[in-house]
Amino acid sequence: MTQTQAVEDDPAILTVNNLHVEFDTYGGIVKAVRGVSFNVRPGKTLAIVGESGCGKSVTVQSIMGLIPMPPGRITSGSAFMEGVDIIKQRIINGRDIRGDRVGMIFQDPMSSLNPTMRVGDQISETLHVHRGYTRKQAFARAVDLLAETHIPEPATRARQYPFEFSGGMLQRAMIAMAIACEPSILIADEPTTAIDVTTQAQILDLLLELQHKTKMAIVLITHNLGVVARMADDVAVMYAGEIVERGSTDDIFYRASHPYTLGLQGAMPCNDPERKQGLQPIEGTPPDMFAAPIGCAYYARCPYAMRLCAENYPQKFPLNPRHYANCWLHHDSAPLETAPKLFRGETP
Amino acid sequence: MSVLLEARHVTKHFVIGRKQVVHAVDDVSLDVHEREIVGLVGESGSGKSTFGKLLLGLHDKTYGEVFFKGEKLPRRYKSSDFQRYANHMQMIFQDPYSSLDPRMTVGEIIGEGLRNDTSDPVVARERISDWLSRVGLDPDHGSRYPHEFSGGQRQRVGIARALIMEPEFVVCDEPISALDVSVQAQVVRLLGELKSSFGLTMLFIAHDLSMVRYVSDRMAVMYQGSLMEVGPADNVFFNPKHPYTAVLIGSNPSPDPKLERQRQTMSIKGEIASPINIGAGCRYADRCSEVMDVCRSMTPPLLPVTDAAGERMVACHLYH
Repeated sequence: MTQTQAVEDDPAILTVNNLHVEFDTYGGIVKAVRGVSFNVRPGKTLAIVGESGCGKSVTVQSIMGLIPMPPGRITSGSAFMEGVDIIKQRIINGRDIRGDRVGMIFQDPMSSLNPTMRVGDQISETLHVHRGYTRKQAFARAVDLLAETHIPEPATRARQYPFEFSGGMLQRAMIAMAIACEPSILIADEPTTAIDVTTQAQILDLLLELQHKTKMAIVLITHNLGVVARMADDVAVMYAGEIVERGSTDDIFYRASHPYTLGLQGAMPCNDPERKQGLQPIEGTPPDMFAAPIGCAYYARCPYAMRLCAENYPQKFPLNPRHYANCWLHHDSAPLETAPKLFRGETP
Repeated sequence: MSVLLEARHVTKHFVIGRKQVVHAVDDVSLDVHEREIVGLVGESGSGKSTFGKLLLGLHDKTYGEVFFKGEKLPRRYKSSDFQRYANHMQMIFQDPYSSLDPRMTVGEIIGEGLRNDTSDPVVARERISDWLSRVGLDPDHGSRYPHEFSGGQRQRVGIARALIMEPEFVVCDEPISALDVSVQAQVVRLLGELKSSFGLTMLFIAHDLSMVRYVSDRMAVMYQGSLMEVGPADNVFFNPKHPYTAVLIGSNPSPDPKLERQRQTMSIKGEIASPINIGAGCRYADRCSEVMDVCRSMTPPLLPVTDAAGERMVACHLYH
C-alpha cells in the first residue's frame, strides 16, 4: 500500500483524514460517512460526486461544523487547514474560519437567505463580523461584490429583499456573500441543482472567473457529471459514505477504475452524435446504512462482483500517484476477463 | 404515421389582477403522431407543463382546439369528459412525493381508475398486481402505503397508475427530474420498454436536454409560452437553428472533460422577462445575440425550414 497523500505535488490547503460521522435516529445509528479522506489543492476544484444519500453533503457539513450534534456525531477523523484541526477548533488566528477562510454556498438560495433582511445587509454582515468594517463601509463593499458577481444595478439591488430576486440572481448574491472575505476555500453544495441549464451555465462561468481571479480552491458537490467535466480538476466518487474512487478528472472520465464510476457513466446519456447506445441503469438501490455491509458496499449492485467482495472490505488500489480505486478487481489474482471497460493501470 | 393528437393555436392566459394577464401558453400548434415520443424542453416558467395539462383538459383552454384522433376535445372539461377520455389519455406527474395520496395504499392508487372500467374486484386485483410487476415492483406490495417506497419506486407507481388504463397518449411531466442519476436511467428504460410493448405515444416534458434527445423522436423547444423550434431530436440537438435553441444546448454541459475544455462558453445574457402582458415581437428579442429591428415589432411565425439534415419548424425572422 502506498500513501497517496505523500506524493501530492502541491501542498494541500485542506487535508481530511479518515472522517467518520454517525447520526442517532429512531431506527438506530446511521453511519453516514465511513472513513473519508481527501485533500483540496489551492486554486483547484475538487468535485465530490455521488447519488443522494451517499454522504457527500454530510462530509463537508461536518467539516464545517454545520451538522446538528446531537443527533449527529463525528466519531473520528481530522481536517487540517494550516496546521490546525478545524474539526476540534474552528478558530485560526483568533477568527472563526466559517465565512472567513472558508465560504459556502448552498443548493437552495431561496431558503438559505434571510427573507426579512435586505440582500446588501446580509452580505455586509459577514464583513462587519469578520473584518470589523463599519456598517457603511461594509454596505459599500457589498455593492461592489454584487457588481463582481454581475448583478445589474448593484446599488439598487443591494437595497432589495430576497423575494425580489430571481433564482439565478439569488445564487449570485449567495456567491457574493461567500467570497466577501476572500476565502481560500469555497464549498459549493449542489449550487446549480435547482436552477435551469441556461442559468447554470452563467453560475458555473462566474465560479470559474472568480477562481481565476482569487486563486481560491473550490469543493464542488454535485451529481451531474456534465458539471464535473466542465469544472473539476480532481474528482472523488462517493458511494454509501465512502470514497470509492479518486483521481484527476481525466482519470475518472477516461480511465474509470471502479464499477460504480462506470455505472454512473453508463446511466447518463452522452452527447455524442455517433453513439446513441442504450442507457445502462444501475439496478437495485444503495445499501441500508443502518447496517452497513461488511464487505464492499457496492457488492449487491455490482455486475462484476466476486465471492470475496461480499465479506472482505476492498483495499485501496493505487493506479497512479493521484488515482486510486477501492475495488478487489485490481487485485493481482482477480480474473482479467471480467469488467472489460475497467481501467487497470498502464500495462508495462 | 397518422396524427394522433393535434393542437391548433392552443392558448392559455391566466388573469392575475386588473389588466394583468400571464401569457402562459400562446398560440401553440403541435402535431403528435402515433407511436411517437415528442420531447418538450424549455426553462422553468416557459409553459411546458401548462401546455401538457391543456392537452389533457386539466386546464381550460383560453383559445384554440385540441383534436384527438380527429375528434375535437371540449374547451372546458366536465367530470363526465374526464371519465370518457381517461381510457385514452393519461398523465405521469413530476413529483413522486406529492402526486400520490398518502392515505391510500399503492393498490388503491393504481386501481382507482379501474372503477371507471370494471366493477369486478377480482379482475381489478389481478390487473393491479399484473401492473405492479410490469413496472418492476413486487405484486404483493399493493397493500403498502406510498411512504414505504423510495422515489424511484413511487415514480413507478405513478407510471402504473397512468398506464393501467391502457391509454394511447401519455403526457410525462418531468417524470425523472426528482430522481437520482442511476434511477433516472431505470425509469427511462422502463418507459422505453412500455412504449415498444404497448405502442404508446408520449409527450415527454423535461429540462434535461441530453435525456430528451436520448428519449424522443422529435424535440420541441418552448420559450415564454411559444414554440421556438420543432424538429427531429438529433437535428435540433446537434444542429440548432433558432438562436435560443443554440444557447439552450450550448449551456448544457456534456459529461466529457476534453469536449468541455475546448468548448466556448455560451451562456445567455440577462434574465427571462416577465410573462405578464407580453406585446408583439419575438419573445426572445431582448436576450438574442442576432436581434434585428423586425424582431421587436413582429412575432415570427413557426415555419418550415429545410436543410441537409431534413425539415424542421423554426420561429425566427433569420430564416424567413
